[in-house]
Parts: sequence; C-alpha cells; structure tokens
Amino acid sequence: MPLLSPQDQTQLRELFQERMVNDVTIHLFTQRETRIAVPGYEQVAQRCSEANQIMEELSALSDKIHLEVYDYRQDTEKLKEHGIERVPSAVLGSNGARPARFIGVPGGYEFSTLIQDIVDLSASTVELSEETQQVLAGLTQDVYIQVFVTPT
Amino acid sequence: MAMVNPARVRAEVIEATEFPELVRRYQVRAVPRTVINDKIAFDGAVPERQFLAQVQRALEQETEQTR
Repeated sequence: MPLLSPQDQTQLRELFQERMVNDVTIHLFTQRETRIAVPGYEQVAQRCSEANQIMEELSALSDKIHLEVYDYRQDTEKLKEHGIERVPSAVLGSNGARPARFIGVPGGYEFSTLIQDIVDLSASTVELSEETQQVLAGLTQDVYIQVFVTPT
Repeated sequence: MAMVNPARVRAEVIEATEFPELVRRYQVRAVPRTVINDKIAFDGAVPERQFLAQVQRALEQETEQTR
C-alpha cells in the first residue's frame, strides 16, 4: 500500500512541477530488502524499508527527482564518501553540491521539511538575509549543524 | 545555510527517537535541539541572527582550542 494518498501524490506532483528548476538527487543509504532476519536489526530494517518506500514514491512524482539507493553493508565505499554512519540516511544533492541530509525516517513534520528542502534546493531558494549570506560565504572553517527533531 | 556555502556547511536533520545513543550524547530533552560542531547546543527555533551568532561562537571556541 502506498504511504502517500492519491491526493498527496497529486498535490506533490503539482508542487514539484511548479517549483522545481534543477534536478535533485536523493542518495539513500539503507538496508536493501532481505529475507534473512538479522537479530537486533528488525527495527532498523523496518525503518529502512519505510524510508525506501517514501523516497521511491517521491521520486516517482517528478522527472527531476532521482533516487540512488545504497546498501550499508555492500556499498561501504559510498558510505565513507558521504560520511554516513547510520541508516536510513538520505543525502540531498543538486548541481554538484550536497548540502542537506536526513538521518532516520523522514516522517511526520520531517516529511514537510524534506519536501521543502527538495524544492528549495532545486530552485536555489535562500531566505536568509544578505548579511547572513555574506558571513556564510566568507567562512574559513567547516560548520556542521545537527538539528534533532521528532516526527510529532 | 548549507545551501549558501555547501563546501563549508553541512546540515543534518536527525530523527531523535530512532537514535537513543545520539540523544544521550547530545542531551536532547526537547526538540528541536541544535548542535553546532559538537561544541554549542541550544533548544528551540531561534531567529536567524541568533542562530548565526551561535555558529560564530562555535567557530570562535574551535579557534581558541587550536591555539
């Protein structure tokens, strides 16, 4: 059964159609479907499968959204390249940059954030003040921002 | 912020309930909780100017430590 209702799908399809400019790639790090149950990892497996489904459904709604799926046990080089330590994780990229990532299943409020990020990234929409943008552009050190959220 | 300078800034949204070890490490008791460079942490949605000030504070601390 799809996670997105037909109404959600229609709305999102229209939103992407209207607002997206550049292509966006979702690099999803997950556990590929397997019939072998690994003890202690049932919950992780379920979250991974949920994340897979959300991303698959989203990428089906626009030609501009591309999905690349990596398995955390097999694609270890890719995990290292992206600095991924937990699954499911999704890295959003557009135009060669990969500024945003979601660790865990992007459900509830996080789903809206994901949609907003896809659209903003695609259209290069920045709502920050000129001053803030100047400070950020002039950074000489790396900044790593983690925001903890819950789905409700 | 990460979009303005993706070479320098990395932004991560973490679903807290799935990763209790991170909740413990960063003492997450309320959401949203923001952590910058493992140095500065604050709760709640803060205005842009204040957010930026926290980023600068984290970077200053880092500079001081490497001196």
